[in-house]
Formats: sequence, C-alpha cells, structure tokens
Amino acid sequence: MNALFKPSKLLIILLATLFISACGSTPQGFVPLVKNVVQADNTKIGFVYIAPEDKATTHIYGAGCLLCYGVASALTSSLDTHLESTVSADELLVIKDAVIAGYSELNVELIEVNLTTPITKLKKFKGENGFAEKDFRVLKDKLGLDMLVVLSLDQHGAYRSFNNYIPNGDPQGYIAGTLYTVDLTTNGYVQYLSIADRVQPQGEWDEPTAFPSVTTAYYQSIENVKSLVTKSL
Amino acid sequence: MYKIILTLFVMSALSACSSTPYRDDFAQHVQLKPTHQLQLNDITIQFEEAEFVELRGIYNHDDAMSGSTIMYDGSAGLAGMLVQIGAHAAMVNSGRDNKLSAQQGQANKNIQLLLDRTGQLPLSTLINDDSIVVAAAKSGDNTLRIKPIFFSNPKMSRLSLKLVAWLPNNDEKANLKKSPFRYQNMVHIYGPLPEGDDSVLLDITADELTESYRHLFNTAIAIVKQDVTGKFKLTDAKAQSFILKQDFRNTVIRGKLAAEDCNYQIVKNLRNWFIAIPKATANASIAETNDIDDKDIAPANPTVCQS
Repeated sequence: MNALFKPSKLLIILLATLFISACGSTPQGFVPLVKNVVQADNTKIGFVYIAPEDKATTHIYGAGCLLCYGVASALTSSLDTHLESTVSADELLVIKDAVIAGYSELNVELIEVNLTTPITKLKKFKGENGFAEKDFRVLKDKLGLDMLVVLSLDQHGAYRSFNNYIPNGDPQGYIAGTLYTVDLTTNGYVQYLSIADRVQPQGEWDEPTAFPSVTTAYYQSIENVKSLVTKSL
Repeated sequence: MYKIILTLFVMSALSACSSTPYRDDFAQHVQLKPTHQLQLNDITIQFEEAEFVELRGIYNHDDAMSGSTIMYDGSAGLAGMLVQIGAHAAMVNSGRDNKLSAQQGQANKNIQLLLDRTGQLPLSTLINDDSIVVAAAKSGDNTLRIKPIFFSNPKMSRLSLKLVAWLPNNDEKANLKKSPFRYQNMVHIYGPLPEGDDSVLLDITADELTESYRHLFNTAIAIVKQDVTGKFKLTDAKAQSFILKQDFRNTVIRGKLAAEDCNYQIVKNLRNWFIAIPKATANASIAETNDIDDKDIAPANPTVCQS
C-alpha cells in the first residue's frame, strides 16, 4: 500500500491526470454563420484580425523524437530561410479583406477594433461546445459591441509531414487559423470555422534558393483560404 | 559526438528521399543566351517522342503518404540503424510513386470517352505551317524539339496543353552530361472554361475537337517561338498572383505578365514557364478564341483590347 501511494507518486499521478484531462476535451466543430443574427437591426459588430506571431516557416509534423526533429529541421532549413526572407505576413491581409467584404455583402459593416488585452489573456469560460473558451462578455461594455468577429491566422508558410526521420511527402503551402464570431452577451459562437489549408506543390519542390513550387503553393493556399472564408459568409 | 555523426549520416541518406518523383510534364528552364537567339523565319520543329496527340486526365499531384508507425531495432548498432532508415525511406518513396501512378491511372479512366474519341490524331495534321516540321535526320541548330502533352479536366469540358520545348547544346566544348540543352522551357496553355456541367468536348463535332487541339498547339508553338527569338521583355516588377478559373477552385499562377492580347494573358511564372490564361469568359466557345500567331503577341499592355 505504502509503496503504491508514496506522496511523490500520488502527486505525479494527479498532475498527469490533470494534464491529460485537457487533451480529452472535444474540439470545437464547424458552426455555420447564423446570418439573420448578424444582420439584425442595430447590431454592432466588431472585427479583430490577429496576424501570425512568427515569420513564415516550415511547420514539421510527425518527427517523433528529438533527433528526428533535428533531421527534419535540417532537411527544411533552406526552405525556412527562403520563406522567412521573402514571405511577409502582409500577404495574408487579402484574407482579412475577404472577411470584411463578405460581411459587407451581407450589408453588415464591421468595426475594426484594437484589443488592449490579448484574447489569450481573457478569463476562461466554462461552457459547452458551441461557446468560446475565453470569456468575451467583458468586451461587450468595454467596446460597446454586440458581437465580435475574430480572424486569427496562427501559422503560415509550409507544412511537411514526417514519419520519424522519413518525409512522407513534399513540403506543402500552408495556412492555419480560425475565423469565428462570438455573441458578446452569451459568449456563444455565431460562427466557427477552423482553417487548415495545405497545397501540394506542382512538380519538383527542392529548388533552392527560390523554391518556385512551394512559393506558388503558398500563394495558392492564400487564395484557397480567401475562397473558404468568402464561402463561409 | 555520436549523435552528430548519426544525424549527418541520416541526413545524407535522406537527401535522396526528399526528392519528388519524376514526371515528364515538367521541364527545368534553361535560358537561351541572347547571342544564341534564333531568327523567326529560320525556326524548324521536330516532334520528339511524339507522333500522335497524347491526352491525359488532370490528376491530383498530392503523393504524400499518411504516417505509419515503425519501430527501429536499437540493438542493431549504427550501421543497422542506417540500414533500417534506408529501408524505411525506400518503402515510403515507393509508396509515393505508386500513389502518383494510381492517381494518374484513375484520371485517365475518368476521361476514357474523350480518349476514345480523340483516337490517334497525328500532330503533323494540327500544325498550321507544316513546312517547318522536319524529321530527326534533317534537324539543325535552329530546330526546336517539342513534346506536347494534352490534358482534359475530369468533366471533359476543357483542354489544356503542356508543351516542353528545347534546343540541344551544340557547343563542342560543352559538357553535355551537365548541360545537355542550349534552351529548355515549357508552355502551359488552357482552353476556355465553359459554363455548366456538360461534357462539351464530347458534344462538339470531331472537326471542332480537332480544332480545339490545333488552337492550343499552334498558340503554344507561337509562344515558344517568341521566347527563343527574344520577343518577351519583362520588367523587374515584383511577382503577382494571377487567377486561372477552374472547375472547383481557382488556381493561382504566380509570376509576371509577359504579354497579353484580347484572348490570353501570358504569364511567366516563378519557374520561368509561360502560362497562357484565357481571358475568354465562361460563355465563350472554343471557336471564339483565336490563335495567337507570331505577330499577335504584344508586350503586356491591357489597352490593346480596349481599342
């Protein structure tokens, strides 16, 4: 009994359980835009665009050990250098414009706002699926808005899948993020769209220093996401 | 130290695995030196590895394999580890080749009716000026070798053509293994995209179908001729995204506008290929789009069509 439940072991088990329980939550699924809600008279809707924090780079998945990751990083290092030096986050502004234009088509004028507190710093909201994980309700009076549209682009550049040391395919053009609209009274989602677009480069990819195939695939991904966003509105 | 050596070994072993499977509808651009440019009237053409129209279905190029768990035997030592990684890499590469081949095979099955309808259409009957076509025995320094591959969308409503063209290196001092070409490039030209779900290419007459092949073929040859005679003058402007309308989603062509007329925008893409994007609207028929001939291609100037 004592051997099984030494305080240190018990603490580790509790911490591990706590840690793993976060992985067990159901991810938020697609919520189609409820158009009549955003089009309701006198509804004031704000818009926040969150650009990627990091420069464009190759996002590596599936390199399951430290050494594997080192090998994977080395295999994509020249592509990283190219993306970091030639692709600016400003290229993604066309997606932001597509959101504004999409709402404009619905006769809804979005009010661009700057948040003094980042969304990640907002308090957690204990709601079910269909509700935002952060408590946006505090923004209702602060910003004088009824709803908030958030376009958050988290990753951009290229995506390459590995099976430990072995690449499963070529690096693909890649953009990931979310577009969502939160009702600031209920904290419920009026729309939720997860964005993860990957584009296969056409032909040979490994052509330093210009990487024409992967670069074109990246711009194709921008177009795809723009189209996805437009169709969702 | 051991880890560094292992990393270096693994990286050199994997560098081969990171390459893309070979495709024949692809050409590495080789710029023709200005001093080697040809005179338009001297150009002759030789069909290389092609006598009849070769038609393929447009296929998905994504050959990425899904991740599968594999456990290496750690007791095998460094050499054993490398052998296992090599075997794993070969397995993944083979899987990628097979996937691409299967996708191409399926795409061809999708357009079987059009393949049957096209049959054995000789390339020599498509060319406007057949006097410039020469046999291999009569080819010379001014003979462009060309290999055309036609593609159809799964709906069988739009044709496109990838035309690879090259000039062999005739420099006696050149290392032909390293530099086999004086010039090599590819033109990718698209036909107009009709509206609706009809398989237009099955509905038109045999003559109209031949005409649509002829139009793409001659226009692509005209673009290559313009390139080898140094007619395209590009500025140092930044590359832009040009949109090609497709069945399901628009395709981005990234590059610089090289020329345009009322029918086509000709874009030199990041790979230096020429991509001819039809300006014709969805309602335009194949017959409404005229060939670009040697005189038609103007430097990029959108005002040409407004007059």
